[in-house]
Amino acid sequence: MTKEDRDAEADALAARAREGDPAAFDDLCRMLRDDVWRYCLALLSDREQAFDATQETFLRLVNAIGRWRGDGPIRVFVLVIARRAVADLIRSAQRRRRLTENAPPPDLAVPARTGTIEVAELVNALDPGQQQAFVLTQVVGLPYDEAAEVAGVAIGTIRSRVSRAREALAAAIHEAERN
Amino acid sequence: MTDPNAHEDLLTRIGAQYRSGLGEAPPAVTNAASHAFRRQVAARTWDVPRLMLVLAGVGGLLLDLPVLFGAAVHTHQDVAVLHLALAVGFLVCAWRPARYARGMIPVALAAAVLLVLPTAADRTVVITNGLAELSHMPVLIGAAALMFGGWRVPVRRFG
Repeated sequence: MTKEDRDAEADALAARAREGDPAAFDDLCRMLRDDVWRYCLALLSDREQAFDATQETFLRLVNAIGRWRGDGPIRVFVLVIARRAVADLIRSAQRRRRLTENAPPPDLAVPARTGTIEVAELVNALDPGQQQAFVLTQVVGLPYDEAAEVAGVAIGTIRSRVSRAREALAAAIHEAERN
Repeated sequence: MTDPNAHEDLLTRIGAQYRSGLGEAPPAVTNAASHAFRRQVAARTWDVPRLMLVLAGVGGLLLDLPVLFGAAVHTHQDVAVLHLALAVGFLVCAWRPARYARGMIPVALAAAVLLVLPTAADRTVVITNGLAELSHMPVLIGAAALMFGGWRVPVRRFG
């Protein structure tokens, strides 16, 4: 199934859910939850926080789905909600950390290995903007215009961030292979 | 490292490996949203029992407000107050049944039984009062709506 087919199916489910069909809402959640989970986990690097952010995203979708007019893919609409949920979660975690100074460091996601180089370490070492652009385009599989909408930046910014992420990753791999 | 195709391959390869490292979402992550969605849909649905509650509430107000302000003679004012209290209760239950209907059921049923029993036991009362006994109808309708509205079972909660 192509990305266009999947988006069309998700949009059809969203249209039915907007009319109050609970089965369509369940199917829509099932269809989008992996993308939202990966996006949240990539940005937060902590499974527990990623669970909270993903759950919060779909809870917000319950009220927000009435505002989706079908003029863009529901996948993008939901990922925008996810970005805001992650931002809110980071803000509240920072507030808590200020209150309790001795908070433990977050768990890193279990990295996949490419020879001696850990992919997760490479991606997590990217600048946050580049990391987000990389995750949206390469992990979630959004085209540049949709990734720009989710990230809330211009399409040119996404293009340059992906390009810089690509260079940074290539340089990091080159460096690791040399050592 | 300047070949654009090599760079694209690199991005694709790292993207795929990173994606597989992130894994899939735990299925339970959307349970709370599914439950919240169902509750929201139920709250929006104006089905027959809710419409009956509105009918009972509005009917009770129309019949008994004039009594309270002295425009009618049949029903004593304190009975009218009881009717009005029940009517307001029915309207509140119609507004948010998931929250209020279950608690209202015993009150409405007790009122319905206690209003009907004397009438059933004493036929002369019915004959004397005639159509005025119909002022109890909103209470009976409201009690029936609450009884058969499916709100006797508590709302299931996650977590």
